Amino acid sequence: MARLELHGISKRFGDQVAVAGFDLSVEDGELVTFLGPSGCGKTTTLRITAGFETPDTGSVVVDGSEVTGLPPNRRGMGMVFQGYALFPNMTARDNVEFGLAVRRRPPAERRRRVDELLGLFHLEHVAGHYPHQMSGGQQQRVALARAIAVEPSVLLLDEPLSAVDAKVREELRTEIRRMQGQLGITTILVTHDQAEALSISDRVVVMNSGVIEEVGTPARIYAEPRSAFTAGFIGAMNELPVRVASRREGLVERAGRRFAAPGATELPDGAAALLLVRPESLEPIEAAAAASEERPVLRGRVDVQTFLGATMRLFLGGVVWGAAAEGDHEIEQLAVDVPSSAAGRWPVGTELSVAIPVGSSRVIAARTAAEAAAVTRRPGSART
Amino acid sequence: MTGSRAAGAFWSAETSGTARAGRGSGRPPAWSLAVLVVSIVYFFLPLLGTAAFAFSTGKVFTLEYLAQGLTDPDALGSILLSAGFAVSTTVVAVVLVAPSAYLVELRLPGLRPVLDFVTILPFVIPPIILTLGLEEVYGIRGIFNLVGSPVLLVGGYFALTLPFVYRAIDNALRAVDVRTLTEAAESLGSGPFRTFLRVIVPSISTGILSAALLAFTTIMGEFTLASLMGYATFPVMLNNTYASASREAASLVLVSFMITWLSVLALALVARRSPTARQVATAR
Amino acid sequence: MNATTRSAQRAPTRRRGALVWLALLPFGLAILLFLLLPTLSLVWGSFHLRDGSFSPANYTFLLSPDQIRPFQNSVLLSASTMLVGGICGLVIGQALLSSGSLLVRELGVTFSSVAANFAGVPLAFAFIATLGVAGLVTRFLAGLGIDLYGAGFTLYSMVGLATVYAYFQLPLMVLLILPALQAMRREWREAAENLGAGRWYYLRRVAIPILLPSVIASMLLLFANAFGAYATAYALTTGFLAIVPIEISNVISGDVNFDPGQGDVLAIGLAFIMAICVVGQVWLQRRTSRWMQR
Ligand SMILES: Nc1ncnc2c1ncn2[C@@H]1O[C@H](COP(=O)(O)OP(=O)(O)OP(=O)(O)O)[C@@H](O)[C@H]1O
Ligand SMILES: [Mg+2]
Repeated sequence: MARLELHGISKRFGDQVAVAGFDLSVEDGELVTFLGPSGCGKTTTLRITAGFETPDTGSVVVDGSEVTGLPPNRRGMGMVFQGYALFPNMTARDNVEFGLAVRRRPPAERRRRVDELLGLFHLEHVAGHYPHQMSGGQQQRVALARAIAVEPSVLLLDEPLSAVDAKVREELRTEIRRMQGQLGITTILVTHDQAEALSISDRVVVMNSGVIEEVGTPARIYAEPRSAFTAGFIGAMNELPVRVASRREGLVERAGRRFAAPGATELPDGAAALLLVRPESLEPIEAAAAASEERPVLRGRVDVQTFLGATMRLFLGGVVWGAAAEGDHEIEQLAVDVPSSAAGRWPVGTELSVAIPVGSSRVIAARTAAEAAAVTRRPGSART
Repeated sequence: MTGSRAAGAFWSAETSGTARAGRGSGRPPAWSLAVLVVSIVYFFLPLLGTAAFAFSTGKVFTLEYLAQGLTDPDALGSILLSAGFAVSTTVVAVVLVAPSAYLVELRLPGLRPVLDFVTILPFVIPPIILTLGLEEVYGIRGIFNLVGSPVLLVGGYFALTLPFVYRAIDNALRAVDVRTLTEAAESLGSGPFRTFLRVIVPSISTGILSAALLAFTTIMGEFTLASLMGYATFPVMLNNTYASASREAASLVLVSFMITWLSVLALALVARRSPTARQVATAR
Repeated sequence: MNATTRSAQRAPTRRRGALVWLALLPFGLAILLFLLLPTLSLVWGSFHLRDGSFSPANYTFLLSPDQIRPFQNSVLLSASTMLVGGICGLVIGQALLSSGSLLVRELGVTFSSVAANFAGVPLAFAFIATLGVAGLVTRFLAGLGIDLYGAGFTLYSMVGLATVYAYFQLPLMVLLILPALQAMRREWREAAENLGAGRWYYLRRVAIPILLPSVIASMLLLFANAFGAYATAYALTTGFLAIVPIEISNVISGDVNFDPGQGDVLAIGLAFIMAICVVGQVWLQRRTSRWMQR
């Protein structure tokens, strides 16, 4: 298959910058997702890669040879479009066969290959159906099979799952991953669903207004987001405002208390910062337990319980640091995940104290106003 | 020639092409510009010819013929006659169609296929055939003698405009979900008349307006029925004047063209307020 | 709703049903009197001889050489303007979309609406002033040394009539085909390209098959539109040309050469051709709208 490199890609439409200085290399057989809010340039980057748009600057390189000037039909890349884009005048079978027919493969070979792909995607029973006679999930499978049929060197998927319902989405997600692994196709998948990005990629590229925010494995991005933007975009995250107390010692300070926090050494003394803690990292403790430099404590009242399956998410209100006086509310809301079996101990209205265990939090610079706006605009934000 | 009006309005209401904003980057291709320029010239050529004929004798520009054409009592009378038929038919058509379409939509959805058939019929029976049929039933040798009665012409015009009057109103009715509206109104204690006049009619007003405009303009330009039944409406008068006073007639052709423009613009204006009406209007 | 209220409502409901039918009566009556009755009269008349006896003999009249000609002429006129209007309309429609400007598209639709409606008597006279013996274009061409009428062209012929018809056929095609052209998704072309297809392959295997039903459907309407048109032809030629609508108008104005039954047969023949076009159009349109829903 192939190794794909994007070098310094920029593209603007009028005075709207869609992509700016995009650098990325995707290894042979790797699955990389582009994750980011609507309008951040994911589709544009993908279309430049496929050859449907010409970049203003930069180059697209496949296996060491530049393809920037090649028309789409000579790049050998497979693309799956946001809305399937199946040919409405052809059956599922004819759609899958299209690329093979263009290449004038012998009929027998075509038939064998199409049968194989219809089998791979469980489409045998709809082979003779037209797109309007198929469900969204089936159409999406046909679109995938059609793109793969010609054995593309690179597979580009533009929000392939956004138009199907939740259950099918999860099924297809796994299916795409399995198929991609089996065939070893170098793949880029565009999505704005963080769960999708985290669950199937080798690496995630977080994008924001045309630039790469950060690149990393799902585990790394989830555990240690390097920017406030990523932190806000991926997973549920508590963001607690703090101030850097001592850069040298790695300490931050809040409500008169100092405590150690990873990341503090990278910010200047006195800087406004955010302490990031995942809801599942917070540990319920006895109210009497004391806070320490290693283990800061928060206390609040349970306002809402939401059931998430194995865990129950408690939303605390009136949250204060440690045992500070009543009325000193500093944090509007704090999400805490507890095992569902234990949730009965903290019915709505009760007080709960939680500790931030060592190493489970991270400090980053407080986001600028613009970043804050970008995060809150994101639909379905899971940020707490 | 009523056929093209009706056809345009009626048929494209079915294919609601999703207008996709062309996101294609780059300049328009040269061929499309060339085609459009040629089309524009083709579009204006007959008007230019008419204007040249109406406004000049040889080299001199004059508005004399236009003035004569417009002040001619025959011309004025014929325009008024046309307008009279247009207004009365429009009123009759809207009053007959709107409540009926509403009732069918609400209580008798089973009648829909029948109505669909009936409202397509005028395309199979163009004006010229309709006239023959009407003459046979209501003419001198007809079963009922309506010779000379304007009711006959209004009735014929009703049949002629039925397809797009019905379609415009029905589209509007479907767009507003009359069943829910009616049930909501009734649950608040409104009677059927009140519901129709106070709730349904206002909510389909753009549909009614475009139906009325379509009917009105069609009849203003209708020639076949009027001429064969012997009414000197505007197009008939135009046809009769041309032989004797062709320059005056030519200036009236331009007036008729203006009327067409105005009605198309009025429809576009109505359509701007409602997407369903727009489909009908753009179709013309 | 419990049982008592339901049974209490039944009687009013039935009365309401009757009221609904009563309210539909004027509408139904108008349709019956001014649409159905005239139509039925034509059908009935076409099967009855002058003496009132039933006979299909009138239909042999359609096959007489005298009557074959108007139909031939009408078919020729409709088919030629359908093809010219259809093809040019398609090209103009695509040009409007390719221009990429919403304003151009809106203007195109408005101009087309005006032109498609500018038919009948005014159109005929506009063409006389333009392409008639002393028309603007005729004189202009004469100035260039091209003698239109000397070359055999005359506006008052079949060719001339076809030229005039094209003026409303062409914009009508633009209006009819534009929704179908608009519904062509950019992704189809891109998907085809992505799978290795060139421009021609895409046109042959994807674009043309998708558009063809709509194009044929629209052209059927153009055919019907020209076939039933009377006013333009009459105003231009004052009834000289032997086309079906003009023949029928001669029956109406009491031409003694015609039997009433024969007039009816002409009308039925015309209606029959219109019906084929309309049914074909509806069928094709259903088919494509089914395709287009995702
Ligand atoms: N052809 C175009 N003309 C003008 N602007 C464009 C064009 N294509 C994209 N843009 C703009 O470029 C920016 C990036 O668009 P792009 O489609 O790449 O976003 P995206 O990340 O794919 O968003 P989404 O998640 O909504 O699909 C947007 O602001 C968009 O409006
Ligand atoms: Mg996108």
